[in-house]
Amino acid sequence: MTDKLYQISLFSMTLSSLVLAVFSVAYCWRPFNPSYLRSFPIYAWINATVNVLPLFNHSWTDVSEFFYTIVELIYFTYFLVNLIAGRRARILLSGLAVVLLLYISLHAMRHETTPYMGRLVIFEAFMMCFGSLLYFRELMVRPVITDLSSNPGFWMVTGILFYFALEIPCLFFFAYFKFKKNYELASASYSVNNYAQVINTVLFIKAMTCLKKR
Amino acid sequence: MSEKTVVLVTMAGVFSLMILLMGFITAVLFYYQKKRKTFISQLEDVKSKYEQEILRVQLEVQEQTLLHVSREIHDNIGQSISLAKLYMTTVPVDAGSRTAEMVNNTEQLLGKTMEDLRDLCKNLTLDEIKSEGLGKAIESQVNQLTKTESYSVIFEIRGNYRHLDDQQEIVLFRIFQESINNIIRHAKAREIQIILDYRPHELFLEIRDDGTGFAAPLAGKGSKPLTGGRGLNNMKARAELIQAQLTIKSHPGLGSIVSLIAPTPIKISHT
Repeated sequence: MTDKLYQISLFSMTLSSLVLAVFSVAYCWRPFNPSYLRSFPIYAWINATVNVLPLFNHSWTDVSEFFYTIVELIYFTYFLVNLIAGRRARILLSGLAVVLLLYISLHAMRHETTPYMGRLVIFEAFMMCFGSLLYFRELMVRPVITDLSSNPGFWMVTGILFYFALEIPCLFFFAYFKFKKNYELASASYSVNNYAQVINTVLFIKAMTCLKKR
Repeated sequence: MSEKTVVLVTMAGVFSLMILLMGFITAVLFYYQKKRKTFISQLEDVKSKYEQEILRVQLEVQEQTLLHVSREIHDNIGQSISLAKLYMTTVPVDAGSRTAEMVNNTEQLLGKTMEDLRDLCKNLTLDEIKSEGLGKAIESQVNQLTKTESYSVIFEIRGNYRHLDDQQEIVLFRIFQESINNIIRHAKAREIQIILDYRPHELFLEIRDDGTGFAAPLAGKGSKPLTGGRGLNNMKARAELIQAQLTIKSHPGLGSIVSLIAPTPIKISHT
């Protein structure tokens, strides 16, 4: 049962990442879009490639996950830094990302094979949740008022928060079951991460399409 | 723990987290929407106050200009006409001659022009309102209208007369003047009925005519904006300045009714 659940989640995630890549090309380069959306197709296509590659060769899974972690860390940090107005918050977030990247590089250099980065990913997830919450805090405090339903930034950050908030318990469970050598349950709990990414994709598509030409 | 229990606990945990996240986002949206509504309402308030202030200043400038024009007419043109009339009386002419008749006609014409100028000055300045009040000022206008013999005018004052603030009475009087001007210019009316009713907490002014009428939108405080000409929009703007409700009812061929309800004591909006 758990294996089937995982397979379905993997298929959904791969399909959604392909849809996201197509949508990103169709919507992100519209002239009236905010500048931070212009670079989004790069992330979307890397994400789709990373998800599709292991389907052809299973041995690429670890490499693609390692690569994807770095890309999502860089891109989401860039994205949040663009959206958050507070200077200190931006510096803090950028600083944390740089520290994490350095740590990942050192970690990768110490291991001959692609390292398992569970703890680092959890740290990254906490960092992204923190960044998202900073954005929401600013939304409440700042005197600038916009229509949230047509604000791409809001939907993007909501997607990031959903994804990373769900990723934290999922990775904990994954680590726990792996430690207990119950690989079936470990993959089942990892399927939650895949579903979280599907939700994330839906919210990203909403972000890309919500802005209409005036 | 069995596998089934673990899966159930995991699922329950994930679903709880999802509900929590959705609750959080809903709360953010709800709070933000509330903030947005407050902001929009404050913005509209500021805009309305700003527009009222602009209008108040415009009216003040207009009144000052009219006062200046009136003084110039009275002091310069009036003076010249008086002198011209005086000179005419000193022209040596033979009684009963053609020249005497022409001089006499010119004197009469100058006298009539002086009288018209005096009426014009009275209309332009608002000294009468300040000294005699709104009722008397309207009465004076009614007398002028009656003198033209073009209209049958009925003016009725109801309730206990009370003198309002000068500025408030000026605004009301200008609305009244605009309405009468519209009747003279466009209505082709024969009868005009004016009611000035001093009610306990409001002042009611109604100007009714039996003229050609027009397809008029209903207008009032908080209703659709008037889609009439500049005159109608001026009336509406002035009414808003004293927080009065202006209604215009008219149908082609059935005359028109302009009514104004102003709360008393009326407050002029100052920002």
